[in-house]
Amino acid sequence: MKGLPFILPFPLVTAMIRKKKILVSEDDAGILDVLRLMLEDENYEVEISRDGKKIYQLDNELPDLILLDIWMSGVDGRDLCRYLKNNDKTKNIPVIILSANKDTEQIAKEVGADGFLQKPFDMEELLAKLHEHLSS
Amino acid sequence: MATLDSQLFQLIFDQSPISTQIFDPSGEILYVNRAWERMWKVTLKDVGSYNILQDKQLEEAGVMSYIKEAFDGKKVTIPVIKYIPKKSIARVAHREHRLTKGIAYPIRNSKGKIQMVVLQHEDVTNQLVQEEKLRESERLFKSITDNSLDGVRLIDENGKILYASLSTSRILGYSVAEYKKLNIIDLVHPEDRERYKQSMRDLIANPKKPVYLRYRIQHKNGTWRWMDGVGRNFLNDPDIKGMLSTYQDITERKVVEDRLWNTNQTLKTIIQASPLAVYVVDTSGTVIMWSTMAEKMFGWKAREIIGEKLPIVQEEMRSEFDNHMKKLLSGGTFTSETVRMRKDRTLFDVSISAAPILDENGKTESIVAIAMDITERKRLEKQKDEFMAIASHELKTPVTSLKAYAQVLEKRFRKKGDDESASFLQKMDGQIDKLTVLIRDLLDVTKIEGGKLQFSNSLFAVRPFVDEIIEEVQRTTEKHKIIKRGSTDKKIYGDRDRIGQVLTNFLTNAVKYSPDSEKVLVSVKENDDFVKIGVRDFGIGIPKHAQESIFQRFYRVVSPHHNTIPGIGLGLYISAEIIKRQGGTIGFKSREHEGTTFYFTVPVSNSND
Repeated sequence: MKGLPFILPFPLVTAMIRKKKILVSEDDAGILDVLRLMLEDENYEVEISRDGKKIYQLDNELPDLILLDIWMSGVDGRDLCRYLKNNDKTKNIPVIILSANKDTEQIAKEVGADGFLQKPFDMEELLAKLHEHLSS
Repeated sequence: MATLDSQLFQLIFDQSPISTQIFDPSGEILYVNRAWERMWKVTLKDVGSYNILQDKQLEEAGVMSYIKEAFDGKKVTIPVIKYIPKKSIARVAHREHRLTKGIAYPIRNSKGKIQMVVLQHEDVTNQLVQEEKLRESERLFKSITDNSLDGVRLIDENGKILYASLSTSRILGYSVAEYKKLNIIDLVHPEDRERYKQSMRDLIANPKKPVYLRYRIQHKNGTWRWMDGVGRNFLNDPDIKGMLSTYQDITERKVVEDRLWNTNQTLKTIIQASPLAVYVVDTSGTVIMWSTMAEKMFGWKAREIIGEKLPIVQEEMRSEFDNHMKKLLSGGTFTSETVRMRKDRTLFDVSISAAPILDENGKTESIVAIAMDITERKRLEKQKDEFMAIASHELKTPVTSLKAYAQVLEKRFRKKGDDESASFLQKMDGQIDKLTVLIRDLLDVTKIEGGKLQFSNSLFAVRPFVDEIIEEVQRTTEKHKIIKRGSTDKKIYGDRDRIGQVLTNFLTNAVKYSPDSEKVLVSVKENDDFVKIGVRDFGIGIPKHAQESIFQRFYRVVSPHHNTIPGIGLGLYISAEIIKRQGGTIGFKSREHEGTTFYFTVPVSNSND
């Protein structure tokens, strides 16, 4: 920010420096906390949802990417993903599914997710995936 | 005599059944009666002249002296001789001989002078033959009783021994003479004595009925012998006048019988008490034995099912069952976990072991099957699988946080330039990865056993795949240098992560089991159908005895010098399953103290993507 010309019009500045927003839907508080920390360290804006309900309420200020835990208590991550991908407004938001079970990779493909990451995951791998989906 | 009419006398003489000859004092024959003629089948006329005192045959037979005594005036009895008329009387045609014995006496005139000599003899041929036969049968009887395995004794109604066969000494040790001085009741075992006496009373009360008895009797050497005896009452038979008992020493047989009986009882009890169902079918599959537990397990009562075709095999299992039968009929055995049907047509999990019962020619005669209801075990296995799945999932959640925190912290320390702290966190991250592998392996084993190991196949190139795995493992070791030899541009259609898991397993093992070496070689080879990837280490090697079990679950090579190598023995078991499921082969070559090469092959994809 320091290097930016002072005279640039404000809207343009915000556009250039606007942080990418990632919605993390994850029911485990521990993982949620560290994911927020990890992503904020990398300059992402993090929005969290413990139960995934926020996803059904997405309207304005859509996230740039969604990290979705597929097995959350009370909510079926598969339904959430299908909802996102069947909704014109949200269908272009990349969804990366997180799961401790490798067999979920197949399910992730079936429900239209853009990526899959098995827990426990490697931070560099996560960041690479985010970069891949956000830059395209 | 003088009063008798001579004609009447002659009539009586001729009609007498006793063969009679009359000689003059010089020995010349004067007269024979009809009985004589009948006996020798010759008439006096035919005989012509005959002088008894010159009959050489009588001389040879040793009776001439008797006859001469008669001619000298004495009445004599002549012992039995065999007489062949042909030898002495020329005109006799037949060769028939007779055994005769007789008397001879002189008849004197009123002055006391010998007037004639009468010889009367009877034919004792038949009588002697009978006597000889009797003696022969007596000898035979004695020989039979003496040589028989059975003992024979005759006792009176008080038990006094009247007769005993020679076999007595062999069976009871007593000589016949010693034995005959004894009373049988004294020899019978005190515990059997009352029964023995009762059997005697029974015999006396009911003479026609033989009595059978098993009892102990004391051998002369003091030991007790078991006897099987049968007694018959001949007290009223004037020729026997006793109770006849034949007996047999069954001590050895009884020991065998008792053992057999015990074995049978033991087997019966085992079958009754066993939680296993036991049944036997013949070669056509017809039930011939059905245990109590089989009744409980399958619902059919023995009386309903014996003689019927085994009804516990449902239609879908028929061909499997037929295959098993085929194997059993040719003498093989099998154990199988399968599903069978109860009487109410419900199905249940069962483990069946079966083996053929062979006849003396080695041919299958019948088949014994042992069945165990494994419903509960299957349920528990399923529960265990579910538990393992949940547990490993639950374990992964905190590990995920832990790993993420370690990585976030590491990165922060690096930014601040605190590389020492960062390296600690890197090590921590490495340990968390090991923990992750352990959790994954446990979960994989659960999946393999539940038949639920899934594969997510895709097409991938071998070269970058191998390089990537090598790089990952290289990061975990500073000591070993992993060197790749050979490569391929082929692609594999398979589960990249799973195959990666195998290669990682090979590499981490190679590092782990070669603590004193500095390199690990990775070779990549190809042919038209397969890619072969090998990992060679220069470590402790696998001892020969362990080589067979190396792919078994929980198997770990433990040598006295290297018993501290950590691990839970699941890696190769899982690797083998993965490669098998991916259509490849897995194997190794190893020499103790020189090192090991593990390799696997996977089929290449020949599509041109």
